[in-house]
Amino acid sequence: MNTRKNFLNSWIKDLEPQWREFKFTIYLLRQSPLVVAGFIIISIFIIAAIFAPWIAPYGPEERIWNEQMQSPSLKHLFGTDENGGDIFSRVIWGARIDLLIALAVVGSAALIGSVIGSISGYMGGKIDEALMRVTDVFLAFPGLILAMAIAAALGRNLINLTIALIVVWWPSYARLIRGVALSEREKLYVEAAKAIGAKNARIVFRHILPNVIYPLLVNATLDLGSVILTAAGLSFIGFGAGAGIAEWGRMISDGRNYLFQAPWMATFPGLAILLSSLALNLVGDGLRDVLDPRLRR
Amino acid sequence: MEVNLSELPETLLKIRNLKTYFFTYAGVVKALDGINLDVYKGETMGLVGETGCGKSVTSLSILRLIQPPGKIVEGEIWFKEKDLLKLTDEEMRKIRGKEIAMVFQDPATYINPVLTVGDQIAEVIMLHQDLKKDVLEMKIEELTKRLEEKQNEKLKDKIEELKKALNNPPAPTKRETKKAAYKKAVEVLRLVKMPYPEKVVTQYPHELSGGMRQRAMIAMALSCKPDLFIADEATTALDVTIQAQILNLLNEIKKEVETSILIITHDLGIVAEICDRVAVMYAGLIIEEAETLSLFKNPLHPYTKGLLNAIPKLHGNPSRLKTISGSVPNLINLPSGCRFHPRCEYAMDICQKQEPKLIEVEKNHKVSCHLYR
Amino acid sequence: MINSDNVILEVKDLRKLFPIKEGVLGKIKGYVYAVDGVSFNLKKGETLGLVGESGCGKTTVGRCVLRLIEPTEGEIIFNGVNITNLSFSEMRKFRREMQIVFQDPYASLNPRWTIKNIIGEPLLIHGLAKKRELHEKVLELLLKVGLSEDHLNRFPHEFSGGQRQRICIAKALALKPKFIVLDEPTSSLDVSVQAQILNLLMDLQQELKLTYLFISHNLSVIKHVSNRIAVMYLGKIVELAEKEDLFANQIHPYTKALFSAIPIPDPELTRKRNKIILKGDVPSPINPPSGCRFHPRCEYAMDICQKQEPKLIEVEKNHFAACFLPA
Repeated sequence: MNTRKNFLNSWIKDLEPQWREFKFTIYLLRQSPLVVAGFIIISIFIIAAIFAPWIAPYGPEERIWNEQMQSPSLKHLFGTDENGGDIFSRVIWGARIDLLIALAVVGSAALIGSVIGSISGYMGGKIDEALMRVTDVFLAFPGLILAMAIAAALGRNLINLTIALIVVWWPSYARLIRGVALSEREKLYVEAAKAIGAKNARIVFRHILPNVIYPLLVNATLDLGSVILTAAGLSFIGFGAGAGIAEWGRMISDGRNYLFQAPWMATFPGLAILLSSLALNLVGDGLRDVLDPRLRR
Repeated sequence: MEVNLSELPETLLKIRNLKTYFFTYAGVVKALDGINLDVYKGETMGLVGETGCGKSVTSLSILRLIQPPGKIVEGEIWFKEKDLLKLTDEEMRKIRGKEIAMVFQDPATYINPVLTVGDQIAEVIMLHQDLKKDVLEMKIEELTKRLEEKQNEKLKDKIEELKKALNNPPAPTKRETKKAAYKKAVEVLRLVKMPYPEKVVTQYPHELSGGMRQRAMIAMALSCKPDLFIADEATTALDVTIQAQILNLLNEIKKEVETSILIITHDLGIVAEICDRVAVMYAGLIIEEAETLSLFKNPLHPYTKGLLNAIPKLHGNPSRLKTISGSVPNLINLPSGCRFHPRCEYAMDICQKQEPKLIEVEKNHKVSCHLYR
Repeated sequence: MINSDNVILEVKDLRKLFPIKEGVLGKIKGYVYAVDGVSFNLKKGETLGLVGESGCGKTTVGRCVLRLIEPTEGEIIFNGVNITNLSFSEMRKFRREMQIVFQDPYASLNPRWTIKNIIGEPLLIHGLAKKRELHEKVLELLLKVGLSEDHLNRFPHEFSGGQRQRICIAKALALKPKFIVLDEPTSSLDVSVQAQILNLLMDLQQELKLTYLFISHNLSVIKHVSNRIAVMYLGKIVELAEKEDLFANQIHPYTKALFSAIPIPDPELTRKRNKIILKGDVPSPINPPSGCRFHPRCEYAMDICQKQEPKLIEVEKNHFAACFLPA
């Protein structure tokens, strides 16, 4: 029991310096009102997504047959669609899907891209050439088209959409991280690691990768917004969410036919996409300003 | 280089109670906490101290180049009858480069890499100098040369006409101004003993060596014959033999350009080499000020003594260097009373309670320490 | 006279040329003659000072000796073993005995690692300690260099320059090496901090019986720590002598000029002495002058200096110089 407590204590102590850095970053971020606004907005979405079952008055596919096409009212804050579904609830449920997709795509793409980019940048030579040519092949395709092709080939559902987007997104991370790895490789601490006999694998994973986090974080945050837009866009065309699923892009597509009779059907999901990606962009911008040289305090 | 300090010299720069603070996340950094400094006309003044003592902040404050989160919160900087801190931005801009010029430490980062050396010096000249007369003189020279080759009545008349206009020269075109400025740039490069100045004027900074780049920077600074020339660690990034050349150069041209030099450095060797007087800074304050010979022969402040002891000597051979215990204080949480007392081997009770004032203890030798009252 | 029991490091004819590539295909246009034929020995327990200006090759020598840069030619013999061509894993064993402290204490520490991990890394890599034992060993090293326990869990940027250099020294000592290359260890530090670090280095040398190769451009610092001093110019050693001999009498004209150029913190001395101001710049090691590298700037240059390269010969007892003048 005692040793377990000691282990926990030492673990906390080990994380202390990172915690201090985190607090300093938050302090700097708080200085800009735009960043704070963005943060608040995206937090609302995140909370909505997590607590959807408790917040949303109706289920995502709940149909109330007498109440189709109703304009916004106290009972249905955003109105209802042609099947009687409550738009407000569906937007909240949609937050789950879109935010989850964004997280999955960016997370996986960043992971794959970082590993490939670090190895490529640090090792250089033929490995670098080979990996970069593979990356180039993927980058040569226009992203949207490639995603559509993959989604079409695998089958049109949300999981395959996610996979398609990961395939489209990882090369740009590889490029980015390779650049960072190239500049870190020349730094003195890498030479110091060699001087004590560190093997290349250790240098790449323990030394270079941690220094890649900051540029990665900035890019990732900005990308979250882009992925939401892209995923919604592809679903709108029909490559993602199937009919009737409460996903923002799909909802806009469904509401397209009723644009003049029931404009609320398409408008509110559209606003959700706009606000969420805008908020993520603001936060990402703020992070970029804050994370680089200023942290050399 | 010997300035006769027995006659009361004219004071070029008078800094009184200058306070520059930096308002940061961690607290208020009191980089300068009330310094008084005088620079006399025609002398080479040294400002010496270690990292964090505030010497660079001093030079930036004089030129009012302090950026937020820094701010000059109090004080006066008297330069030629004007308080620089009360001038407008526009007036200050006219002074920078023309009346007060500065050379920084690393010529690689402070010089514009995409402009030629000639472009950059010419820019300074065109900004601050009225080149009407020079343009006219150039024209006259050109025509005179042509006259020597080919005798022509019309040319002779033209030259006479231009010569008459010398007292009231016409406004030149931009091209003519630039040409005149380039000519002056070559002249000033020759002044700093740059080899092949006509060629250097067309070269980019990366084509020059470190020493030559620094010469170009010095040329840029001297191009408008400033009254005060500030060298902020100007030779720190240079090799020793090149540094010797540059210091030698500064000495020689001081008289020719009629300028006073403020040398900011951490190297007491440089101070011994070319400074007439020197002020020692510690933690945002000036703690000793004296003529160079007096400071080295008879250092009064314990910090100065410690500093001189810590330098490995070329002559004599102690096996251990006598160090100053402890380290430079945090400028946010300064020690009470005298800032040096936690590290001072002569510290007394009063040192902790009261901050000592900078007072003249011997002739022309000021020190701020409770040991001397 | 080489008593091979006593010699820890032998460098023979070390040469390092960096190719200059130009054009799309990377054609080799020329070479940077960074180190061009350097030979010396290091006795156990001594400090050899390597002094010179930028471009003279002293830093490259330091790195070649540790094979952080691969020498183009020449041999490095450490404790009797020729380590010039060893493989990565063979070399790894020797890395425990030879370490380096770099000039820039900030850049040589990984900014995202805590001090504990930085100092502990060598021990982890060579499997010398784990967890609890590691913690204790790291603490021991920290205390040895004058830092304390609460510095363990901090990042490098939270320390001052002098403290960071102490961390680097602690890391270098972790593997209990016998030989340390000190590459301008105090050049970026303030004078008072420099004094502390120099004292620390000398104390450690006595206590742990270390051998130092001390590289610096600062002659006063070199004088303080070295037993013997080698002066380098454009990739070659131009003078090599015991400290006292060198300071009493400089034979090579470059050494003379170097000595006279150093600012001395003593205004009477410095203003009285005879200053040799060299003309021209330090030449680039890309196209070194023919014959003696120093002849274009030398005030004693003779005809032969342009044609032939002088060899490092013993001019006085244990005082070597590469110059035609003494002959």
